[in-house]
Amino acid sequence: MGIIITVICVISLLYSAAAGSADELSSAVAESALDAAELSVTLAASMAFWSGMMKVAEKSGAVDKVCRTVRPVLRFLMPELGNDSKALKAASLNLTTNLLGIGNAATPLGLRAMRELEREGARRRTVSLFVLLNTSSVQLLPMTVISLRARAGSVSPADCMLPVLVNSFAALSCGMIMLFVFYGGKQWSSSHLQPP
Amino acid sequence: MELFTLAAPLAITLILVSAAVKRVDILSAFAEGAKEGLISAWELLPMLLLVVTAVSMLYRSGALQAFAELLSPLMSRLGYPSEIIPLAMIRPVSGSGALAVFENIIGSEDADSFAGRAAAVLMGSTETTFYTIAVYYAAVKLKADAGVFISSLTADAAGFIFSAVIVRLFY
Repeated sequence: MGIIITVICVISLLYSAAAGSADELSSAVAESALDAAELSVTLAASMAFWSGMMKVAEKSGAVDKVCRTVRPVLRFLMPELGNDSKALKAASLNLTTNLLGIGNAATPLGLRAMRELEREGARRRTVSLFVLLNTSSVQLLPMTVISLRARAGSVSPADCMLPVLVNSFAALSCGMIMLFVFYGGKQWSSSHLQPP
Repeated sequence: MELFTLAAPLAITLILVSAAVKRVDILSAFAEGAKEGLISAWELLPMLLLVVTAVSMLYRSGALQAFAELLSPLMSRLGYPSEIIPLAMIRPVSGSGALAVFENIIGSEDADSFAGRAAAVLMGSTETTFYTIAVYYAAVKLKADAGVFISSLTADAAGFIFSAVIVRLFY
């Protein structure tokens, strides 16, 4: 990540020197720390709220119920995790909230799943797969896109629903094939969990 | 549709009702969870500072847009609407940037045109990949390895390639 960020900065600097957009670039730098802080406050507020909600849901047993439905899919994708794995539980909830389009709730759950995956000593392949599930945005109803299309005067703004879903799955499948190729099949078939 | 619009309020209500039925101490459970959420958000800030700065440098310098323009003659020959190329370039790095470009496309074109639909499919089926990776790995001591970048970016590229195909198939 550090290297990618460095490369991005070098490219931006070189390009703006060539294109004469130096003013824009330096104001971008001046404003971005504040942007990041704003983003964090927004994120912190919704994360705190949804983490609180999820704690309530956990104590009432609702979390376990939801997990039971999504869990088989994740068990298939991440065979190294045990059935009572906390990481699996958090990941199932993360997937559910993503599908429902409650992105604000998905992030804290995703981060919890990451921490549990680390604690349980999950393999890199499993961690990467989980992140891939989150970067490929599989959702049943893309609310933002639909509302923006409605505002732009589309005749039937919600008719992009199925194409979006199909495209998400197609893209996710390609990502998974790449993941499989990169990490090799060995890690896939082995269900052995490393000691933490 | 109505049901999905209400997903968040519905989820909150269901959670609270089922907790009340089970006689859970709602306030203390909520406070406990919210505190955990605040702490993890606080821990993300340092990483966000760096990522947001780098991304806005890339966007505001014009480098991203220039790259998109470079590709557009080739892509439109392949049957891709040239309007969606900047969107495909910006989408993985900046959520707000992508939103701005998307609004621009469906505003200037017809929302129900080929380009408008392809843009909608692309926008809805991809995520702010770099940001997501940064945030997720910032929460743990693990470093993001090449595998996660390669597979996520493959998914993004595939999402772009399929978007035009799928719009042709569906409409």
